[in-house]
Amino acid sequence: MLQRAPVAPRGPRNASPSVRGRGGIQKRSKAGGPGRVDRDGDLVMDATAAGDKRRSGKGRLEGPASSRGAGRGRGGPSRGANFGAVKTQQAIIRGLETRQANVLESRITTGGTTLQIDGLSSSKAASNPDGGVESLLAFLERKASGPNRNVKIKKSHKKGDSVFVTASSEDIAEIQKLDGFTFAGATLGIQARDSPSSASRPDKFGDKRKDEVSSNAMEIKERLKGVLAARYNGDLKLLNLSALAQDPGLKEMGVFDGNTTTSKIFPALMVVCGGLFKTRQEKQDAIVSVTLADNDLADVSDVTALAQTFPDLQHLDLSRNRLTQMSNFDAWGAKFRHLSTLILTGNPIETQLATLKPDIMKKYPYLEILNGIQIRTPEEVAAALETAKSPIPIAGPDFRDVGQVGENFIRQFVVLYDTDRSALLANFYDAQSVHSLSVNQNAPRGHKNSAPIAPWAPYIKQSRNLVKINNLPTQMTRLHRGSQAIQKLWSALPATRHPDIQTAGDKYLIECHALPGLADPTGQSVRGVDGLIITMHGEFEEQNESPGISLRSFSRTFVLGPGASGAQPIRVVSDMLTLRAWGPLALPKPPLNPQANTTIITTEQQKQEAMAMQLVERTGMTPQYSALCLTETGWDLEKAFMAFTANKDKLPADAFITNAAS
Amino acid sequence: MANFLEVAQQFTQFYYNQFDQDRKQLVPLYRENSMLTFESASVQGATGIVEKLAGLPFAKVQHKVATLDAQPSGESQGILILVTGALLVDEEQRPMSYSQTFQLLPDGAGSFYIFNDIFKLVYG
Repeated sequence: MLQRAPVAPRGPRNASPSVRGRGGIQKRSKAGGPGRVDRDGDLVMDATAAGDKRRSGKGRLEGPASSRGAGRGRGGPSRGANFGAVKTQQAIIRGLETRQANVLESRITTGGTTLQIDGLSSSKAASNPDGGVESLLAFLERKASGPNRNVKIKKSHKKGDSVFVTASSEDIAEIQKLDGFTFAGATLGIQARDSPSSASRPDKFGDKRKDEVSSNAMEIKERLKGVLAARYNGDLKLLNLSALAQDPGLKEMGVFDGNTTTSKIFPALMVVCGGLFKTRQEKQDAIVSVTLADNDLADVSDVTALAQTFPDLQHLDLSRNRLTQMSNFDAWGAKFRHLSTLILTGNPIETQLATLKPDIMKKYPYLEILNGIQIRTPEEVAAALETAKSPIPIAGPDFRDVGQVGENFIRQFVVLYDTDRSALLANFYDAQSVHSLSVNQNAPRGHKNSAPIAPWAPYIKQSRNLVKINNLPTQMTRLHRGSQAIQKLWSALPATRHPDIQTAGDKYLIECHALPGLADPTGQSVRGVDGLIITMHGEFEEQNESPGISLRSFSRTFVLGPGASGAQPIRVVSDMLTLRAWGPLALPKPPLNPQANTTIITTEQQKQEAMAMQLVERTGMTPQYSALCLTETGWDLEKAFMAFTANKDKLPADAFITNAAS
Repeated sequence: MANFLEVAQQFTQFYYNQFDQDRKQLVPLYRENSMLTFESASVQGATGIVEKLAGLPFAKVQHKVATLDAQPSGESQGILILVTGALLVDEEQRPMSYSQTFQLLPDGAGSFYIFNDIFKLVYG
């Protein structure tokens, strides 16, 4: 979390509390820019004071670093590249949605309701009878209060050298801005801490870890967070990592002293940045664009970590670096598959590589805009995504029924499960039938299917996912044996409606295989009886209180065997259900889409043809005989060659090319 | 009674580790009467099964198991396992959702082998 990160630098958000109370705040700055002075004559740090701003003293990263132009086109790096920057930013802005919640920003500002304040012990007030706590609190309240806000600290306690204060979250936000202020000769360090009431906050560097991490490392981490916060533009969801070597915050840390390059600091920045997000989705939502302009990069190997931290990046600006050839991108491998904008303007590669456009298009199959020029239409990108073939060809179901037993069962199951679960149990389940269910909350879904998911509450109490449930009694109680126990479970589950198997068969994928060796419930056959194993994948609608999000996907495995009595000819031996968020089934591509189908066939054919030609070369057989030989040996070249060696004397003369030719 | 759960967990872990490291080494888990149904193509016999697996068109593969459930299957002391999870192959960033059913049978010598192995991509 960016707990202590500065909140000031974003213009509009900074507007209201720019007037402070009285007193000697020393937010010193040598900024050449027009610093603002409040009514008491104290200098107020503000975004306009950007540029090469060094802070005096040993203070931590205090307040804003600089406004860094992220999309606002001012105060940019001192390269005089503002015009280009504006242009690239415009390119990046294209297609961005700006209305979504600003995840990163909220992380920066919502610091919980407890703050840890350090620095008191080295202040002059430390010699007060109470250790200076009272005057510190008064100082904080006074400084944090504005004309429209009276900041009140609710609770405080001193622990070691730190003082912990609790207040409303609005007040906390104001107090937090005093981080780096000077109190009685000491610089205050203020950072948010998890309070019990906000324990759910995803803080990677929470209390437990904090003590383990050395204070030095923490300090660095905090400083990097500050640097990142100043470089993040929430409106554009843009992380501006341009001209890192000129960053005042980083300069102050001394990371660019001597010959240190971006390659040193970048991985650390990425680690800190990655740590801000709990899930990949959060990261995707917060940051869609990154600019790495003006970083003197001759190769992306210095910034390899970008690919690990932001694999789903959509817009990337590499302007004005020193990239010269395609191999400069090798360090990113096949990452950034979903890049839609790439800017390479101002790199030697622009003029040195004649095949830049086709090469880049090949490397980034869904890229739409290169250097501000459209290279693919959105339709073309959509088509490319559509035909991106699965590495494993999706095949239709393999349904090998025995006497339509499986088919009849499934037909009845689907209808009765929706309409009359008791009848279903009476027809097919007996005292030995076993049923359990599990919930897959992490099933991958396609880009198009990110619809919200109805709460899993009705199922989760019964989920027997052994990956998560390690308690043996729980594992056993969630295994339901016998129709009575199953009835009890099913009556508590939401009502469902499965698609009609007759008219909506494409919503299902059902496979069926014979399964020998089941125990004979009548005890007559010692060697067991034959049964069926059925795997079924599909979806159902659920009656729940979440309108519009009633669909769920499932996979279900049944083992069927002969019933113990004539009244129940078929029994369910096992019934295992897994539920997951809805997504369409991976069905084999219909022949309507010949392109996709032929790719698979062609590659298979091409492979076989190539193999046949190899055999031709090695054996002298005709292509026809080579293909025949390969077919008989399951398209295994070595096996085919062995078979050939073993049988070549028996082959007819016309099996060989040389004979045919001579 | 609880033993089948441990077997199921250990088996699943071992199977996917081995699959992701070097799937050619999976031979000992299958027998001549084992059946693999991989994307609807069925193969019988340990050698054929592993050839099929080895020949799949990817080099790097990673299974991420999301759910695992297991039931004792009948008096044969077999174990029925249903796994769902995500599959990442080669440089493909997009995980595929899969469902895999195993039926394990005791081999008579104190361990288990895969009698049925049914793999299906449920969302590609």
